[in-house]
Amino acid sequence: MKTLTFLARQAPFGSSSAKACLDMVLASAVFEQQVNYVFLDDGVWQLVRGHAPDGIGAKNTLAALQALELYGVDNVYALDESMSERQLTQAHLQIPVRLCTRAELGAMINASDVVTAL
Amino acid sequence: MIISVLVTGSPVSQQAAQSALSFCTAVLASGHTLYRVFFYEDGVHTGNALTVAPQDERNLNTAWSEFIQQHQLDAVICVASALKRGILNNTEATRYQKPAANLAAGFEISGLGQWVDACLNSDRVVSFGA
Amino acid sequence: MSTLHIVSSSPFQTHALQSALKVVLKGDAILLIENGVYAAVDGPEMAQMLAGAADSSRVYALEEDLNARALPSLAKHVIKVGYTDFVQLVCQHHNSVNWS
Repeated sequence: MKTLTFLARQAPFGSSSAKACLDMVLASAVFEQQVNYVFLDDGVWQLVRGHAPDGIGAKNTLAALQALELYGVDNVYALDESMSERQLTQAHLQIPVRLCTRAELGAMINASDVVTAL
Repeated sequence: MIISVLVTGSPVSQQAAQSALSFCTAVLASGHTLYRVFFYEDGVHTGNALTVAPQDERNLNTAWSEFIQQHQLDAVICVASALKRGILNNTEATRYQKPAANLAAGFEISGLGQWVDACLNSDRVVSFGA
Repeated sequence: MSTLHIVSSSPFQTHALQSALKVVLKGDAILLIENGVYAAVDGPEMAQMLAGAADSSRVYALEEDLNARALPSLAKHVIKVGYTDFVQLVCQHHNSVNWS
């Protein structure tokens, strides 16, 4: 078993990165790897409650995010400063996440076997 | 060392696929092993056999196809990314009743499980992205 | 254990370098490739941004990408490397992250 860390850095809907990262996370979980799923930069926007993308013909990924727990993905983080820069708090989010600091994220990256940023 | 590479950038629109090819070339020249090259997201466009480059430009797709075949590499195009972007082998073209198949020689279409497998079996995994 | 941070977009265009610098640890390395090499230009803003990192980790720039782009000058602490060195850096560090 390896530790695979994923950095979700892009906003939802403007590109396909958000779903692409999520799919990699789920595939890794299905193969029973230790997964860290970290939202930072504009990636924190993926977590916000209330997405309604029907008008732009896009699929809502929040249902999949809510299923993370079922897949055994328990280590879900958001970089604290990415949240505060965007005026976001836990109360705005659809799923519970652990806030982490730069130092904690740096250490997590360092301790991982593979790190993928999308 | 055993190295795998992830390519997520599109070959014409971004530099990722070129950087990845140069990196992979150097990996082999240095005596290391390339376990797998996994093309994901827009990276799947690298497997399109129908690209035509101007006379004075390199066809990166052709270069990749030749590189993979020359070194008998394991090059995987992610099925989900490929279907959405219209990169199909004969099986998928038939399955979805599409007018043509266009997967270039040397590439195979498979799922994200192959990428996870690459992570498990490689000492290093390097990404080249958009 | 150390990480190789590969930065592939220009710091004048995206926040990729800035984000990478938030998590760089002592002993890590930064490799500028593709448009990321624009961070190697010798000027006060970039020098300040990278100098902080250079204290605790080496900063490299891919020669082929530098040559392609004809930067007017190269910051002193940036080390030019080729693809063979790139491979060596990947092997030397425990893992890598692509910041694009």
